[in-house]
This record gives sequence, C-alpha cells and structure tokens, in this order.
Amino acid sequence: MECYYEIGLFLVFTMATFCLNSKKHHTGTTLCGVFIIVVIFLTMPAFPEDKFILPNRLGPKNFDYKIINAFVNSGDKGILTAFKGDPEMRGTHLQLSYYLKAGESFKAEFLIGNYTDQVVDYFILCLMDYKQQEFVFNGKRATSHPVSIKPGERVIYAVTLDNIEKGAHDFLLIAVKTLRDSDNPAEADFPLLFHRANIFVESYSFPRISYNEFYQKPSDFQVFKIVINKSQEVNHFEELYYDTKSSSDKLQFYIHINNSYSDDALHFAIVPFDDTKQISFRQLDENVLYYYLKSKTKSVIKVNADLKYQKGSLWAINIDNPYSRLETEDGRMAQIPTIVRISNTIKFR
Amino acid sequence: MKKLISCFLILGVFLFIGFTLPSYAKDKQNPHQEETGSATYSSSFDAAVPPEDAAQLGGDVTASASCDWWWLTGQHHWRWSGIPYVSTSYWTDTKSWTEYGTSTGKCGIALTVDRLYADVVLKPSNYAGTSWTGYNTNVVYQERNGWCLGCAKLCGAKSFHQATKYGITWSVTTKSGCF
Repeated sequence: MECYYEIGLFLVFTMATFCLNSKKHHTGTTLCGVFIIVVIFLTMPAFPEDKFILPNRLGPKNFDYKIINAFVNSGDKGILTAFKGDPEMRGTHLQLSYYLKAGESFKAEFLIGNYTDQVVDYFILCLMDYKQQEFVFNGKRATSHPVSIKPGERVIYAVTLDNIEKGAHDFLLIAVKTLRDSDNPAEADFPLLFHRANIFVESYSFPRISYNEFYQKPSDFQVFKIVINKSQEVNHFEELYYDTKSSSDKLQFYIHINNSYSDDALHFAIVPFDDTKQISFRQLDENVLYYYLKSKTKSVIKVNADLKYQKGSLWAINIDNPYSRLETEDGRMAQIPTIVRISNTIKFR
Repeated sequence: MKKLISCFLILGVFLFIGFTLPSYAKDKQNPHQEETGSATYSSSFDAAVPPEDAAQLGGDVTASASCDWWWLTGQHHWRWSGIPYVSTSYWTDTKSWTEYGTSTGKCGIALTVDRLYADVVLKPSNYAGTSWTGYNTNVVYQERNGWCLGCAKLCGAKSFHQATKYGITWSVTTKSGCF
C-alpha cells in the first residue's frame, strides 16, 4: 500500500516537472494536468492511514450506577438511557469508540429507564453504516425488537451484532416510540432515543461516500427539522400524520430538511423507513441518502417509496455528519454536530 | 402596475402593524394582546466520579466533598404579541445547564458534560422556536424572535433538555401554556 503511495507521488512530481517545461504547448499541458489528476485519484485509496492499534485496556465492566441511581432518586419525570460495550469491546469511558479484532462480534448492553407516569413502548433498530442490521436483542435475533417499559421500570437488554467487516463504522442503536391510537402524534414526548458510536475493526478508515446537493433556499428557521409530507413546496414544513394508501404501492412524498446553523455547511444522512423496515429512495436505488446543506438553508427531497405494508407508516431519521470521529484523541466528545433526529410519522389507514 | 403598487401598499400596512403593535401592546399592559409562559425543571444526580477526580472534567472545577452531586436544570420562556391571523411577533428562549450540588441545592460550580442539548418549540407554529447543542460544556442557551403574517396566536411551548455523560443520557421536557 505505502509503495503505491510513493510511486504515485513520484509520478505526480515527474509529470508536474514535465508540464512546467512544456508550457508553450497547450494540448500537452492539458494532457499532463489530466494525467496528474488521474494518478492522484488512483493512488488515493493507497494513501497511508494511521496504523490500527488495539488498545490494551478493557472497557468498563458495569454501568455507572452512581449516575443512574441518582437520576432515579431525583424523582423527576424523564427517560434515562445508557449504553455500554462489553469490556472486550474496549469501549472508552464516553462509550463513543470501540475497538475490535476482525471476526469479533460486537456485544453491548442497552439500558432504558422509564421515569414518566405512563408505559412507554419502543421498537429497537440497529444500523451499521446507516444500513439496518439483523441483531440479537435480549436473546432474540431480528431486525426490529419491540419493548414495553412500565413507569419506574429500568430494563437492561443484551445486544449482539455479528459479521462486522474490517474498517471504521458508524454504529447507531435507535429506539423509536410506538404511539397508541389515543396519543397525539404532534405532542409525543421522547419520540427517539439513540446511541451513536464508532466501531473500529482493525482500521480507522471510514467508507468513502459522495454527498448530493439539492436545490437550497435561504431559511431563518432556528430549529432543525425533518418533515415528511405531500407538498413539493420547499417552504412547507407542516407535519402530516395520516394518509390513505392508494391501490398502487408507488407513493410519492417529500422530505423537508433544513440546516439552521449560521456558520457551517453540514453533511447529513437520511434513512427512510416503512414501519420497522428500512426502505429505498426508489429513484436513487439507495436506502441511505447522503447530502449537504449550506448554512441557514432549507431544501426538499422527493421520495418515491415502495411501501410494503398496507397499514404501515412512513418516517425517516436524519443524522448529522455521517462517518465522523465522535471522540477526540484526548477522550472528549468531538465538537461537531452528531445528533440524530426523527421526522413525523405518516400512518396509512 | 396599479395592482402591484396596491399589493406593496397593503403589505406595507401589515408590516407596519406587525412591527409597531408589539410595543403598543406592551405599553398598554393588555393581557389579551400579549401572553407569556415559562417553565423550569431541576434535577440532581450524584457524581459519577469521586471528588478528587472531578477536576479532570473541566479546567476550573474544584468540587468539594460536599458538592459531589450533579444537577441538570432546564428552562424556557416565550411571549407573543400582535393581532392573530394578521400580524404577530414572538420571542422565546431555552436553556439547559449542569452544575455540582448537594442533595438539597446547587453549589454554583460548573459541571462539564459530554453533550448538552436544549430546544424549544412554540405551539401552534411548531417551527417557531430554537435549539442548540453544546459539546464538553456545562451550559447551552439560545434565544430567538420573529414575526409572522397571518399566523394564529401562540398558546404554549415545549422544551426538551438532555445531558449525556459517559454514555448515560437523561432526557426531560418542560412544558408551558397549552402544551
């Protein structure tokens, strides 16, 4: 690998010297430029990366019950979640980075504490590099796992994810609230719980992706939103909660998104779901859409969805800065947006 | 051309009303023209680290043995003024902060958490509001004002406060008015 890199650099410098000496011939100069770009492109994957080092220290054995119990003792209403990799996953104190050998399964525990007055129902999904995974949760293997937690109850679930390929990965465990018919979907509390982390399997290299750029319009919203509805107007951020499913399975919706940060353009990943299954943006033949928005802008994306479930639902999550290192080398959370947001859910009747 | 000029004139009148009415409503102290709301949430939780390690969490933290509890506090405010469905203006803010304390009160010493989040959304206009995320910090605050032509009056607000430390996340909401 490193040999290719050296050869690439040598070729670039050689051709650059040649190009500088043939300035008078425009065609030759252009060809030289193209050649240099091609060489750079071909040698990019071979650029040396940091050598992977499996940390010697193991991760914490237990949840930090001193924090957890104190939350409970406060007597306030809220939801507590905690995520902890097994010690052999070599998780950091922040539980944002895990280090594995190739072929190892990722094992962890996910805790949900319900300190509200009502039973809360969630379904748990696992995404690796923004692709839904089949995983073992509480001893059962499936792509979606429903849980129901009573008021005052705290439950720990074992999580196992097999077949993780070599490389750096974005891991996401999400709990999506299941609303009852009597619930007002516009006022649901705690609709999404999540834990996002990096899993490094003998490498620090994240997958290479390209980002889409859509038509963008200036926006003065200061709340990040992801809204699904049937309006193609970029200004329409009204949430749609119910719709009637047509006889054909081809439905067309629009996802409205914005970047409310005033300083920076942001990169995002959108993952759409039908009920509990990840679906594709049919026109793109992709089940993840990577895009970026300039600061203080909004946009709209057309979704041609193939929905399988007659009484299903359509919703999506939006993730800030995909494939980012979430933790700095000195063990702090990276100072970049890494939030996961959930859209409104359209239920079909 | 005349129609265009007429449209601009009508728009100008609405804008004038929108900008002048809020101050008028304040001056008159008319409760029907201006509504406000606020909510505060406080929670304490015990420190995850013994006091001797607490200084590692932030440069200026010197927690004493009696201040080894952690507190998360959330707060939001909002107000609006104007004429519903004609011209309204609003202001709102949201704040989450963490600090050391005892089981009975706060010590006023900043506590740095990994991630701290605060947002507020006004009802019925659910995209009027603001949000902020801070990393390795003890406080996040954001305020926002705006105006709207043809919008209904605001009647309430919901704020979401979240603190994350060592993979443990505590989420609460504060609500006011019609929420």
